[in-house]
Amino acid sequence: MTDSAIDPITLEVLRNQLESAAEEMGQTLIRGAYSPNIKERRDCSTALFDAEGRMVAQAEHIPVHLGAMPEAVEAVREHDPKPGDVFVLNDPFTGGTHLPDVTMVSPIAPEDEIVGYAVSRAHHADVGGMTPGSMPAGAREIYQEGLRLPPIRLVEDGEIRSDVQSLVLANVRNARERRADFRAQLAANERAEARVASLIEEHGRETVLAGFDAVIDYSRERIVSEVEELPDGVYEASDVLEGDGITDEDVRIETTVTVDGASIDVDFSGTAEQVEGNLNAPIAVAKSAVYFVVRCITDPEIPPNDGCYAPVSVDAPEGSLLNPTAPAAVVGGNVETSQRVTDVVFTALAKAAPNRVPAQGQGTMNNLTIGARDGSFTYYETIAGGFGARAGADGMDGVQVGMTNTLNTPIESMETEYPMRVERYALRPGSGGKGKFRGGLGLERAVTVETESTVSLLTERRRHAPAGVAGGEDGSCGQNLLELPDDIEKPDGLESDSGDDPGDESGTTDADGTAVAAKTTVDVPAGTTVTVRTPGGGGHGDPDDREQAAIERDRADEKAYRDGERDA
Amino acid sequence: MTDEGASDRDRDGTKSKGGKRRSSSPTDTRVGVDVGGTFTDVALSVEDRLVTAKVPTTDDQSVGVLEGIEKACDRAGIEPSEIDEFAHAMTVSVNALLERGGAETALVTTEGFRDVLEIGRQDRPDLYDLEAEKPEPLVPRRRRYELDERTTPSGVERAVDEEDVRELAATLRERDIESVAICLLHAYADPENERVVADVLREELEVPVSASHEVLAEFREFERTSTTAVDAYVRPAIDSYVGRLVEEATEAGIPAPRIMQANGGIADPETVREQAVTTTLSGPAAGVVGAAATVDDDAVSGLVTFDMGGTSSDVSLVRDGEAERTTDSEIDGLPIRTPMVDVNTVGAGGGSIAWVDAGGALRVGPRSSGAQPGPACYGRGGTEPTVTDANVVLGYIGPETALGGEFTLDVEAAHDALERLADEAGLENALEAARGVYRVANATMTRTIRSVTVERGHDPREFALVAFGGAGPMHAASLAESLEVDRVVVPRPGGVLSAFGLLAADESYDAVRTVGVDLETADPSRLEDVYDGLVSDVLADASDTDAARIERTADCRYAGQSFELSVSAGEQFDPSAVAERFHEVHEQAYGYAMDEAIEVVNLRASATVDGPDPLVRHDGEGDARIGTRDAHFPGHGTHETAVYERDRLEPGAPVEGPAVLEQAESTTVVPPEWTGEILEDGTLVMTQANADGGE
Repeated sequence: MTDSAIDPITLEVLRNQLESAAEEMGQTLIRGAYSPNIKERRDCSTALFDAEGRMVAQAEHIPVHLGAMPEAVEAVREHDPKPGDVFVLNDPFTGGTHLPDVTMVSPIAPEDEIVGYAVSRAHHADVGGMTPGSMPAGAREIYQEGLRLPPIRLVEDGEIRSDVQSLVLANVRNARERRADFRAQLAANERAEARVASLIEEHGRETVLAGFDAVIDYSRERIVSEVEELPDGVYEASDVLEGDGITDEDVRIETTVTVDGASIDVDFSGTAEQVEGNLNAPIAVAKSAVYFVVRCITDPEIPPNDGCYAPVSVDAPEGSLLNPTAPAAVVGGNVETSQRVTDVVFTALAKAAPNRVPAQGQGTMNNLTIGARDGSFTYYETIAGGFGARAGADGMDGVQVGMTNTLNTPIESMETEYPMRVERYALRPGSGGKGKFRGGLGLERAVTVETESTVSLLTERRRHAPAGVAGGEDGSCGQNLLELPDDIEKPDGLESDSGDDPGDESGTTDADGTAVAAKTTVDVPAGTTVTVRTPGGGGHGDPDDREQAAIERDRADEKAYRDGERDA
Repeated sequence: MTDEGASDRDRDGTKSKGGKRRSSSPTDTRVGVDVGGTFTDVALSVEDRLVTAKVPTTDDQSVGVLEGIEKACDRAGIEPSEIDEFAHAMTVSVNALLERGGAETALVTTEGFRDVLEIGRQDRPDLYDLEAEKPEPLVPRRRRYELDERTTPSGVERAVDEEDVRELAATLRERDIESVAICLLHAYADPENERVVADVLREELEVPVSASHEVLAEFREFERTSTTAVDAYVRPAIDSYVGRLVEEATEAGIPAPRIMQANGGIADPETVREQAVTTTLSGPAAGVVGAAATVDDDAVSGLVTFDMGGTSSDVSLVRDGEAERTTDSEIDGLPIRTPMVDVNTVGAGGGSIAWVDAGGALRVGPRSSGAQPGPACYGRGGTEPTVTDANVVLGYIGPETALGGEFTLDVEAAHDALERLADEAGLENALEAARGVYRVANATMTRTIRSVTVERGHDPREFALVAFGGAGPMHAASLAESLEVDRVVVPRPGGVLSAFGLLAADESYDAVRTVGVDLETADPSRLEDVYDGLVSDVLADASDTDAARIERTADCRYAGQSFELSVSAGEQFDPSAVAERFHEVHEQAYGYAMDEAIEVVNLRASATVDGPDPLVRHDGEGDARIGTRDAHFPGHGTHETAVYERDRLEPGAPVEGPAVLEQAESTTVVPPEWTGEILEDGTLVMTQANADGGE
């Protein structure tokens, strides 16, 4: 039973209504948005908060936003929000995670008194900075990554502040689209305000406010009872990132997870200091990654709100990779570091709940950004790969893993909207780690640019493979390849490194081109083909125990063995 | 099979309509047969009478269909050979999909893209469930073949080599392929290569061949491939089933069946044998059509149809007399982009089990007591509290209620089950628990109704709620109260509404073509050409081209968005009128419009031949009151409540709430402050006495 002064029936009725309000916000945002990241790939989340800044309901479409919203509301509350205001922010050091994720926070005040907040966060296609798409691989300071917005009023007294909007739009590429995305986000927040107002009309203010407490208590009760089932203990794990975009040196992430009764304490002491490149991740990112793992190993149906994360605490030393100080560059932290944090926390908790945790999945988002040199377009995509094998099933082939679940851009819309040609979009046979259950297959996506472009790759698991478990083999590493048109000289950055061998096969060539580093930004001529091969998942169990039927099925489907021509 | 210059739609060139069908009249003897999972329902209209029957569904569905027709004819005192028209809905294709029991299909794609079907949109099915699986692709990798050819958005770049296709045909023949799906990149824009492949394969092979530009000429390769694969996968099963049924019907002297398509229109058997993908979910579509047919009410701008069954409930929308359709459906994770009646399913029905979860909330479903043992009140060994048991405790279902006439009610067992739930939830007594179950079930359903109304920009207060299915009419008035809807309609044949809908269905055909042009600079005459092609495609299928109504729509979006909204394109394509309509529709759906360029993504045409309205008269006998019992109404308290036998109520006589109206297959609750009235055709309309008509 909950401690709240609300009966189990009203609790369930209100929970349904609050969740449906958050979902309605999300639909409004996705359907109205212009940025491909929002509309095609659902890189956005919407939520309702109470007046004290506790999350009450969230419609999250990708996990990387799980733990990031509360910090944004906290930051806005310090600026004395008034009814009729809408705050906008993206600053990773005051409530944001990385600059492309723009958050809007609106006080909800149906009777002119703030009863909560509507929050929407969405990944905009561009927020300025040194490269189109605002995901520069070589950034060393946040100033290079785009326009930084601490919490400011975009709307005051119900009116858009046109001076603020002009300032923002003057600093981003494709201002027309950004304005439309802002409009979609504002519409989402307005939807939430209207819904909460009608709930108050239906149930009365007191009941709705008590309902906020009750749904939070409800999630807390449920998560606590699940955490109590985990064996107490101290569980450790570590892993590395393959360079920070400036150097190729491994960057260490270390965690100590302490399960004690109803609490899980996750400490990242021992993790590397913040890096010169852009893989630094604000603490909100580490929290999101930890919350994601906790949700995966408990009942995923527990409604996400403040109570859901109450038993979990997350710490990282100040000035470290996972709690950097300004003006660190951070854009890669959200997409790549978050994936590795997930791997590390999963590995630690596997010791507490071995059968619930799969072998490692691809562990990267394979970020590919292609921008025209003349600024006419920016294309950004993350590419799926292998899911880790499970204790009772193969890993899924070609799916998003961990902190993202964004859709691909359809080839037919890509070739219509951009001067690009997709040559191949296929499973990568043999890339899943062998085992009693094999890892999921990675993918191959090959794109030819038809204009002079800047290609930016931000990828991982190019030299440290996704690990198998319980005797299962590792999955294949990913590969990035560039093939220039025949008569063109190699541009800078494509020469193989003369010094240290980064170990990721960069500089080697095969039929599809020359391998380039995991993190690369390079200007290429028209006619260049970029091929991204994504990692396969790790295997689970001894390969000798694999059932004959499964072996034969993979053989018939040409999934088990590498294609001699392509992956020799 | 031969193909002698046949049109896109007329795929194998062998289709014959046997001349145009005469328009049917309301006095014809007509039968509708809907095959469901458990029962096959029959609605027979003879002059102004409606006769219904139910028989168990058989493995070979055609056996049950003919048995059902005979049973209904017996009751009506006519011979099956007197039937003038036979309309049919079945589950053959949806079963093939759900059980993965369709054909050994091959898929032919552009080189480099045979895995598009399996990768899908590259998302995993569940964010947090580590055990989740992607849906099994209908065509495994070993049967997916690539051809060296290429089309771009502006046309064919590398022509396909006919010899390659002949070689492929030999391979397919060797492997005993049962059907073929072809989906080449950009075939929606220029189908030339795909047409060559289809022609050669049809010439070389004896099996059905589905080509994407014929099934769905719309961009987005995964969705088009998936839709085409579904078509090829279910086609052999549909072909043999429909063929068999036509034969058996002919033997019995019954006309060949016309088949309900998922788009809500019926079509000739020859047409659906060639467009099998349109037959998925034909039963639920018929139910919505049936609901729409029972309401002819200018006072509301549309209907929310609410079909509450044993394990789940279906919610749909009807606007301007037409079932709302979607081109964004999925069956078992497989996208199907052909237009379908938009049926939204929620996992709460009469058999759904109520429980208290680890966080102390009272939950309903998704677990269900099923047919065995069924709710506790069925007295067949069930002990867990269900929604139906709550309705017993609330007094809506009484000890003398005939639950389909099959068994007597165990009120005690229902009470005990709710008592236990009350203990667990910390509630005072069984009645409190029953109230809670009723409210929570309604909250779940309200959420679904909101998602199809408010989230799409429709105000439910302007709609009437049409309730059917065994449990629908018991919950409808209360749902209406929470949605501020002041009008509830309960059709008389609510237990066999899909079969009834078949009697009322129009004929309907759709075609689509992606154009992708800027609205302002588009050449209207070019668009008219595209429409001409689409219109001749849909008319080719219509039984009566003179009577066919043509509707032309355009899917538009602000240039840069990814989701389209469909607006009417009128009889002449007028860009400024289309723009104006699009701004309006966008404003309605999302709350704002923008002064931005508009893109026309797809053009669509549909042809509809109106079916006759079934003419049903209801007399009633007046002496309908059969008793009184105490019933509890959340929000209104406990009242002594009159119980009526609905079929004996006379048209025109008001029934003041609180009242319970019993009928063979369902029970209707009229809460306090509501008034019911039986119309001439037997339809029950309930209105809220104090309703102020919406704010």
